[in-house]
Amino acid sequence: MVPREEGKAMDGILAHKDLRVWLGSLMKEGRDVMVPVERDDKVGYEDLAEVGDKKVLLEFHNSHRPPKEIVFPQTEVILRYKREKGDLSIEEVRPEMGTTVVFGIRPCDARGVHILDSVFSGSNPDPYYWERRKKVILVGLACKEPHFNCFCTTVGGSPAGTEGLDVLLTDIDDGLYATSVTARGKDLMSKGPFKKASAKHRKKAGKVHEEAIDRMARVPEGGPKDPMAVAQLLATVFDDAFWDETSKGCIGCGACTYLCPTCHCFDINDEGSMKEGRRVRTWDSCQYPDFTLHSSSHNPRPIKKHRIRQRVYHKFKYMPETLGMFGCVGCGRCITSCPVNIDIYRIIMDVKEVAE
Amino acid sequence: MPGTGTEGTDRAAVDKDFEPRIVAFLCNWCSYAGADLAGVSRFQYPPNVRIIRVMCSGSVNPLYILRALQQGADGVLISGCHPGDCHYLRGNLFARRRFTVLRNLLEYIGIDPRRVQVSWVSASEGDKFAQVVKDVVEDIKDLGPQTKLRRWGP
Amino acid sequence: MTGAKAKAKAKAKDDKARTKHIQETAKKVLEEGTVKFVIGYQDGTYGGRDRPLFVENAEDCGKLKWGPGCTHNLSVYIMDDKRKPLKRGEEPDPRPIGIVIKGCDSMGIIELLKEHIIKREEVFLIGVGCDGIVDHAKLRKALRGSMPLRAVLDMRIHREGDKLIVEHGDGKVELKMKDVMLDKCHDCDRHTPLLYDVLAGEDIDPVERPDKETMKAKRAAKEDFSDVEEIEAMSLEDRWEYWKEQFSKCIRCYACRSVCPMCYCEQCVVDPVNLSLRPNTSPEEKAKRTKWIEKSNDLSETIFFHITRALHSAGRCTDCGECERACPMDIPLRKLTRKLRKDMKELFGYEAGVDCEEKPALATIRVSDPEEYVR
Repeated sequence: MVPREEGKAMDGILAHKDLRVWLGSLMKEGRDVMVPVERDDKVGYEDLAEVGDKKVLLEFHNSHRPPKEIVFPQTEVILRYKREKGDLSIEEVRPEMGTTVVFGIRPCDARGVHILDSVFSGSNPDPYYWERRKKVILVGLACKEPHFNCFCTTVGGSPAGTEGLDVLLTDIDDGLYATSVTARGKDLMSKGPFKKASAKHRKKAGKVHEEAIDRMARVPEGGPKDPMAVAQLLATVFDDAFWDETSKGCIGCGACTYLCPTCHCFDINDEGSMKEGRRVRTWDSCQYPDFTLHSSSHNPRPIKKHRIRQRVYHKFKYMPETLGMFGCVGCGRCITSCPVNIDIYRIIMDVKEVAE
Repeated sequence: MPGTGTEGTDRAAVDKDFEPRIVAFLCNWCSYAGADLAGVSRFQYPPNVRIIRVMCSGSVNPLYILRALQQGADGVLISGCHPGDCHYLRGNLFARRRFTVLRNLLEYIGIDPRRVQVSWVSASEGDKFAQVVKDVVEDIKDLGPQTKLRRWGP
Repeated sequence: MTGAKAKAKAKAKDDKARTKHIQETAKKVLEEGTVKFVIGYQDGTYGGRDRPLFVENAEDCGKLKWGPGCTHNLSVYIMDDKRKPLKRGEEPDPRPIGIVIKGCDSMGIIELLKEHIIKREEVFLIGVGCDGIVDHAKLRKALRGSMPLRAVLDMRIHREGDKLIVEHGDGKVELKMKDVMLDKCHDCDRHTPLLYDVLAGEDIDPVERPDKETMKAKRAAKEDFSDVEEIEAMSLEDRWEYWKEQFSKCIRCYACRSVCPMCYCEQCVVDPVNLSLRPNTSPEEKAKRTKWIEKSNDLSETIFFHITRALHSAGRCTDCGECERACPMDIPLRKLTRKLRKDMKELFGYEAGVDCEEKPALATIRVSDPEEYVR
């Protein structure tokens, strides 16, 4: 886990004009710096060394794709093998990645990385994940105006949340107000021309956070949901016809799982021949019909209803029960990208009525 | 991204000694027999062609052609009976339509359609077969190695 | 009444009348028990969107609607229902499915009929004349700055003549329909479905098969292929750079395939051929299992997938545009499939989705098919 600094957080203020100076000095010391830029009407994180004239964005809702691919890429080779004259040689492939600073990640996506940290830990930590994760430093940017599909507060997050982050920045008119969250974050801040922050700056930042929460469109009655309460509620409605109605429109495209900051299912395949080949880990989606297909050709989740129900239960029941937190950060990307408007927020709200 | 296959051909870097590797799908009844006749008659033609015998040019799935290009073929030749002479009556006519579509699509995404060539060679045209191979090899030599569709792999 | 006259009449109708007729028709057939269920549209959950609705009980028909947000091609659900696993001893329900279809969707149904994968009596078509569907990306752009972002959640849209009215908590915005319409709607020549059992908002006889006049008119209509021609005007290397960049975006989610009504294969080219494992299956057999496309998203594999999908849609794609709409990475898939549509039309005089009696494009030949490239 990324070590958190106890009690000695540092804050500071960086003038807007000094942002590139700071990022530049981070790069000079050999780090890769990923920044949010716009390309083809969409926001994505690109290497600062290669963005050229493109503006580093501070005003945007969220990136189109979550930055989870930086720690968990869509495709990665995990081993290679070769047979030469009867001798088989196997070479393990470990990710090669320099220290990478992700600037401008939103609190929900950072929380997503925090959840992935839990998933890939345990008694057998995933070496490929951690090889990358330990090199990634997250510099978050608090949200000013949530997207209409955001619902981070419903699942216990916040537009100014710090879970998973090393530094949290808030854009106020005087500049970027920064708070360190970890020792790494503090170290990073020391590399830039940060000035001492005053009480006025802290107040302004607090106001930005409050306004962002006020502007959230999706707010449930009764406030944020408690993971264990939702888990217990879901336990009572597993066989309800509600799941038939909800899932009828789904086309099984998998876009929701691929754009989700916490989805982490993967497949491992061997490519090549008997003589030479490689083993590759790729993303997979529980929404595909053959995700649970056994080699006997039995499928425990043969119809869409089973798979959609599974997705909701995994995020809102099984993960709370095993990890103590929701598997959803409320970024709303699945809602925005679903071609048939399956809305996981509405499903969780409606499930309560079904249970009553 | 892991793997190769993303570079376009660089004419300037083409090796003068470049020997293209061409996969040829020949229909059993006409073209394969024609190729056989070329051999028996001692007509000389370049050795760059690897022949795969299929029963009919109409049985060639465009996926075979794409896979050949993925595995490193620099060009693909499909050869069948003349229209009207197909052993299965119309197989070559379906093939003709299918390969028009395939070649146009490949050209549309930026792959030179001369990499996929089609010919009608009958069982008695051993000399034509030798000439077709010579011409196709020349064309592919001009185009250089095919790297755009190459996949990772041995 | 012939297709051309019906088209003129349909254009004049308003969406309220169409909605009412759809609801009444659905209610009638569900009460009579002549259909299993009806697939239509209902209000969505944000941004004025609509979404599919599956109605089984007559009393739920009030939720059905018709409006400029009804984008989806509902014919994609037909095969789902056909392949639904049955419980032991359960007999399949022989009744048709009721389905609301627009002009572009009706052409997909004609293709399915042509390929004999469905029968005409398996679908009850509630046709609806369409005057254009909203492109939500364009709508978002047009509304930027004119309303608070949170108001987008509950906003509603409806059409009034050639205007799109957007209503939200703090007010109303009027936009021109043609400024926010989907690209495919701009030169639409299929406002009225080519076949239907009922045409919403009209008192009109059903059309079982597209009639000769409609087919002739459809084939004669000049389709604007300027998006394809734009690519054709590029040099070979420029085209490669363009497509390389587009295909590099692909995350292999297969949304394009899932949303396409013509992609109904139970085992797709991307799925490895299922190998049933026995205790004595050798490593060689497992290693040599047929896999046309690997799961990794190497450019070569991704291009193979897209070319194959384009080839499989040659002469079958009716350009409903759902693939491009569903793509989470905004890859311009229509530019690819329309190239094949153009070639089919220009080289072989063939258009998909017009005549359900004709044979599929690649299963027909003409003696005059082009062969100038053949040695």
